[in-house]
Amino acid sequence: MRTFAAVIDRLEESVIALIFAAMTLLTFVQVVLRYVFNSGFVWALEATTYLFAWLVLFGIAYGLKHGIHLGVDSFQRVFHPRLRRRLALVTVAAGLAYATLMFIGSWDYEARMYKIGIEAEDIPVERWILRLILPIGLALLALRLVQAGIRIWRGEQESLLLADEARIALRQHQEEANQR
Amino acid sequence: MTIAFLFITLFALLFIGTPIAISLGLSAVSTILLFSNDSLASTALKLFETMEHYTLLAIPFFILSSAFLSTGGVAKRLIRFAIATVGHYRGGLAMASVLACMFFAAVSGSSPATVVAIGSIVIAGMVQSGYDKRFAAGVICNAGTLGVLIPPSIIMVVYAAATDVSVGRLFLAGVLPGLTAGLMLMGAIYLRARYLDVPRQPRASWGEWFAAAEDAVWGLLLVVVIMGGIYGGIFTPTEAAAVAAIYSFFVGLFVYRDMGPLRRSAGSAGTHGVVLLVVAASFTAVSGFSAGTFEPVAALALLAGAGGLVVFYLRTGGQATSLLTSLRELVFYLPAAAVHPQTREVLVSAGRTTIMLMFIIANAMLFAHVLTTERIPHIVTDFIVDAGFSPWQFLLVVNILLILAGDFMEPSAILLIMAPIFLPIALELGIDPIHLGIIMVVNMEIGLVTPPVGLNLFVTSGITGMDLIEVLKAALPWMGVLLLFLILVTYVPAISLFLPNLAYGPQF
Repeated sequence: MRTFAAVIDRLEESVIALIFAAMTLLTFVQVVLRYVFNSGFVWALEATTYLFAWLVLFGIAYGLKHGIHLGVDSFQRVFHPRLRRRLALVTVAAGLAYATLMFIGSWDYEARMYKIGIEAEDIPVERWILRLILPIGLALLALRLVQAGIRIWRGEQESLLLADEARIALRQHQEEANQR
Repeated sequence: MTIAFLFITLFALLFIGTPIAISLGLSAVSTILLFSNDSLASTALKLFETMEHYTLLAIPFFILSSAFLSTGGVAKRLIRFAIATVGHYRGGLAMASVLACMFFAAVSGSSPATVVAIGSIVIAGMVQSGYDKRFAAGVICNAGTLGVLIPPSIIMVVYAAATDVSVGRLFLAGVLPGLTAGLMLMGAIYLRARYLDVPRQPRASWGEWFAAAEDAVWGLLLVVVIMGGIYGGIFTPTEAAAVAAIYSFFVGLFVYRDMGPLRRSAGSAGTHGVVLLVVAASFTAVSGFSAGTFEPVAALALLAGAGGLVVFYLRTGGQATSLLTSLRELVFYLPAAAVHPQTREVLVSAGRTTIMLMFIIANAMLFAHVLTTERIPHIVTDFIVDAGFSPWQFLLVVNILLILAGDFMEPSAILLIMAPIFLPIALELGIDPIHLGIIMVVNMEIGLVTPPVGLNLFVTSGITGMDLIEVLKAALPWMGVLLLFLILVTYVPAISLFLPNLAYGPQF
């Protein structure tokens, strides 16, 4: 049986894959339309940029859970484990401070846009709806940070899993080799 | 005071292991809160607006296109072609590795990924044919960096976005320096190989060279699609990237078949490639002539398609059945390929890279925004100009600062923060922004092989099992070649500016 977390993971990945595919196809189709029919959709470019923003802002929290965010972790390795754990909790606090401040800012912005009721440039939808992912993404980030913080507190995880491009490249290679 | 707070917060956060993006963002936001009148709302909106930046929109598409082609199968094809081309010289296997790194990096765009994909195959191969392991590891570690200069390069897109120079110009400006660096490395290998008296490979027959080329060309055509499209004025760099992503999808799943529903099904890449070429060419030709907007391109496409058919005819003696089979597969398996689990996997993995990179870029832009509102670029420019720095002294400072910065930070973040500071000074001193861009990119390249965070050193150590100090020692002489190259690029602007000025006319 698949756990709840695995279902959520799968769901998040599907959203990422779908948005990515949609924005690529939309841009490609736009190029084709321009040459074949000398036409195109006026809303295509704006829609692509909104899709892009949704992809990234939605994915930040997903990325935190899967440790894709780069960071420098070579200094902490020399510290005593107890100090290292405390510092890891400080990084979680820093992340929460960031997410909270940005969330407040985006909430203010959304509230203002909601009151004005202004529409996007080429898409006939109100702007606050199209940018709703900003507060949502930041709230999700805060949620994932709290979860990571709890795991670090309990000693189930050493730090905010930091990615390092060297390790990623090596792991991908390993996976591909295993498939063969 | 404000600036001191900004940087001290940043470094403190980085030091304790906060993700780079959050370190940049939090130091910028807290500085804004404490010292400026900007509202939090406009600050948060800046995060969103990064993704509305048209130039930066090219980044996810380039990442996707490389994800379809960064497989071991593509690496093997490119290596075979490289060996068939230069393998017979003394030290030829090492030279071929450099060439293969250049090819693969052009297709994949990632330097550590290049070292892993090419290195894991060729280092073992070189050791088997009698090379010293340190020699092999040192060469690969450095050759893997060449990719950032050869278009398409994501770092160049970032520089273009930070300084508003044209991506097309910048890509073109990277071509000659990229080739120069490759040739310099190969030259150094040749000299070293003569001295060490390493073995040669037998010269590849023309048949083998042709077969290898026929196999490798479909990946390499990606660069042609991008550069031809941008330079021919068919599409913007961002559109070129999206077209490249679609192209890579077809090459990955229908021509090379390393993944997708047709994985391991029979047929040669040459046949499938010709089919793809003919389909794309007839499509381009029909649409081009009917719309009447780009006849020269349509004519060229027609020519390419016809050329492909002729070559195929000569190679196979006119057996069209395999072509028809391949065409049928292309049509029937397209839906299956689009929804195949491996396609989804590629999308997710490219999505992860995009999210990681764009989160850093968005926050780095916020950080750069704080610097600009504090008038830092202005103050630094005044200082440099008043101090009477000459262009060459300034460029020396740029090089030293960037190599140092490259040891601690992610390249695209460095470019976004430093480029707005350097650019006004460069303009004041009469240095072309394109030239400055290439210098900055080459510095980022060298940052990949210098400790403490030289990614390529770690990756090379990972695939060879050598320890880090050993890899560093092995890499050092070749790093010297790259440093020499940096000096050359810094003080001979023509290497960077010749092609873009030829194509677009001088900018100033």
